[in-house]
Amino acid sequence: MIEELSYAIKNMTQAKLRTFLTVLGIVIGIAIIVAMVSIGEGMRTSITQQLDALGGDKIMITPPQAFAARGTPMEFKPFDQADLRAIKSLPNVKDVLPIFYRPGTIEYMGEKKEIYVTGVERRGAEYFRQFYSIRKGRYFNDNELKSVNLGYRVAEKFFDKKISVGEVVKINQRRFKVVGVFEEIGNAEDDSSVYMPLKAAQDLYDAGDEITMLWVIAENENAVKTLAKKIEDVLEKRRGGKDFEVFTTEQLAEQIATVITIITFVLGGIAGISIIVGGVIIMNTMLTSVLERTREIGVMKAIGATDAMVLRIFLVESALIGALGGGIGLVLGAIISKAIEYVGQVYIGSSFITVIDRKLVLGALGFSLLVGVLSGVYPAYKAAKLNPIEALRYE
Amino acid sequence: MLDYILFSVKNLSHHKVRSFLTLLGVIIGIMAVVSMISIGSGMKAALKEQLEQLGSDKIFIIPRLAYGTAATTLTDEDADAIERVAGVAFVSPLYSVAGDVGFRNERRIVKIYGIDPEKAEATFGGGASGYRLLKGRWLQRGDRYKVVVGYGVASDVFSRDVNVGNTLKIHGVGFEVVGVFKKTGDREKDYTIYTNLDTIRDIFGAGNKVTLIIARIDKGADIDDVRLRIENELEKRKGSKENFFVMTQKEIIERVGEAYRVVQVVFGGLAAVSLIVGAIGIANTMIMNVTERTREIGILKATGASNAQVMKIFLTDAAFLGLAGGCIGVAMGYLISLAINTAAARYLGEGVLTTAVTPELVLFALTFSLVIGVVAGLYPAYRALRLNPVEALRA
Repeated sequence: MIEELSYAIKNMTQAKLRTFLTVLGIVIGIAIIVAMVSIGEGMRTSITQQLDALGGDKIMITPPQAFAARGTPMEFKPFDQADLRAIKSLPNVKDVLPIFYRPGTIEYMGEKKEIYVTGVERRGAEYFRQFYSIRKGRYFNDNELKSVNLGYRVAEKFFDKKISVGEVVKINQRRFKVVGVFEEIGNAEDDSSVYMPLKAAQDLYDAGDEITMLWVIAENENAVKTLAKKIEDVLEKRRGGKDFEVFTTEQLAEQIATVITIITFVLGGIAGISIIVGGVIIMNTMLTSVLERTREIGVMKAIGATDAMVLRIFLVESALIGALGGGIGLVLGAIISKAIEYVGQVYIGSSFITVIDRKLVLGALGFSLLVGVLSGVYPAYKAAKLNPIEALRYE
Repeated sequence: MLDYILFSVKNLSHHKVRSFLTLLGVIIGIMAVVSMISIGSGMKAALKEQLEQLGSDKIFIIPRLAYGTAATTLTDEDADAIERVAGVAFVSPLYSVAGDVGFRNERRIVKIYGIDPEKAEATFGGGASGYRLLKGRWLQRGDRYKVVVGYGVASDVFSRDVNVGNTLKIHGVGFEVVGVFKKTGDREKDYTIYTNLDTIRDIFGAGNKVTLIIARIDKGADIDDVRLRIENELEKRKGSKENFFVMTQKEIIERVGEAYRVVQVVFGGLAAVSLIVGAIGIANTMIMNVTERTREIGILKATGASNAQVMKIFLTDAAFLGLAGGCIGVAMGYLISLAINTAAARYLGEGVLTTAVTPELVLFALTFSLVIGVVAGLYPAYRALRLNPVEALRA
């Protein structure tokens, strides 16, 4: 094996430019696939982490999401206090958190920006402590109807001047005092929200006891699935129909992961076409190499080399080209991936990460090696089958 | 020039397998680019057609989305106020909601449009926008608990077909089906249930809220002026203009077209990587050719061929490889585009994903393949012309 490798290297360095171009053909494709898969993997990891941090004891009840994705804007019947009480009375329910959510505006120093207004109850912070940790100031209390907490981006990025605790901002034309600013959550929507007591938000929109979504916290993590089903039944009966969706954190994680995987596969697949082209180039180069070395092959065979030995020599060479392309492509892809991560963190937030795991490294190397071997099969076979007498005569 | 092309064909046919593999690289690349870009072009074309059917005399007033639901702040009064704006002929209000719809013993969440039948007919109903009745009749003003269903709702949503005379339960309330629309090809329209505005708002307790207002302008009025007047009027009524959009048909086309352009750029860009690799293949082949033909080049030069002529010979080879690959690639890309189209219509439903190979795309692909061939041939051609004739003859 070592012998074949050193022979292959010797041959490859003889026609440097050709070898360089052949390897480059694989490098480009592998680099782009690695970069892309690392972004997809990163998204999946960061979402899984966020949902893990959320804990397996939570159930989310939302408007129908699938419908929201396209078409004309649409309403759905909001939840209300009676829905909430019905869920609360179910066994194994520890707590139910109502959330009110609407688009709104914030005005500061005469400048107006679009935000989301989130109405929550103070104790929600206990369950979602990992997300809504205080950066400056404090949480509002449920009876402080004129107080808000600001999401990280609202306070730090939206306006030329950062908004400090104690200042007054106008939300939908009404004045609120900023009592606290949250740490960055890492998701643009949450970081661009302002948070106020549920009652204050409902009043701001004149929305009665309307609730946009509900979080249910279960007593017992193991029975979450059963509870989710029960909630579905109860709400369906109350509302006269199932015009809502219930997710456990586990289901949520699965769903999002599936979507990301599909996108990664499609985009990676399109980029992967280039590796096939790279394989075609390897085949071409190897064919030329066989042709140029016809006489050499004749000599080898004349002094006793078997077909298998000749086959192996050429297969090793093309495998080496593939693996080399894969290795360099991997390094290049990792560099691109890090660069994208850097840019993404500046523009999207710290939750934007890219991940290159062992699976990806092995996959990229294995795939490029495989392409190398497959592209070499025909040329190597051709070399092995050469008639030594004619090969010796070849000029 | 013809001389050069004939000479190229002769040269390239000398190494049939090598030329074929080189062509294959370009073919795969162009094929990928053409078929991928055709996805974006097709969606753009379909959108344009759809909106042209609607006519260009309409202005849409759309509430800003929140968490997938409209949570609209627009009301009948706003619609009336818009109708009074100078240049507006009349408005058509719409309330759309995700409802639980039961048919026999099945229940599904379906989108429901509450409309004013008379106004809707003149605005987005009737023949002009693709709506045609397959069976039954259109809604009338004063109808209560009557619906007309889209083709998809009638044929696809429930396991049994919905027919005129059947009863659908919307949130438990029975509605008589009085009409079924023909297939429009637009998923949104086909999978919607249409009923009278007030009836549906009663059931959902939506008061006088609307989720979309379509204003039709007077003949000869300047649409941009009217749009501005509507925006000002609404801003006056609502206190700010942050929670709704006022858009003309053209702006909507542009906005959605923008999204499709992103699809085109991402898909086409990834596919183009293959084409770059294909170009590397051309360069590789040309370098191998130059190396092998060193002696021939020596003879050419010795018999008086100028540097420019030698360069032209090799550039023609490369350009020929590029363009020939481009032609075959376009043809195959077109076939793949057709296949995607057929498969999408079959498995995803009509109008979800359409592809189109436009003349511009063909021209672009051919030019691109030619340019890539020439660029890839530059360095090998330069190597050929730099050869010292005396030494080349000795090779």
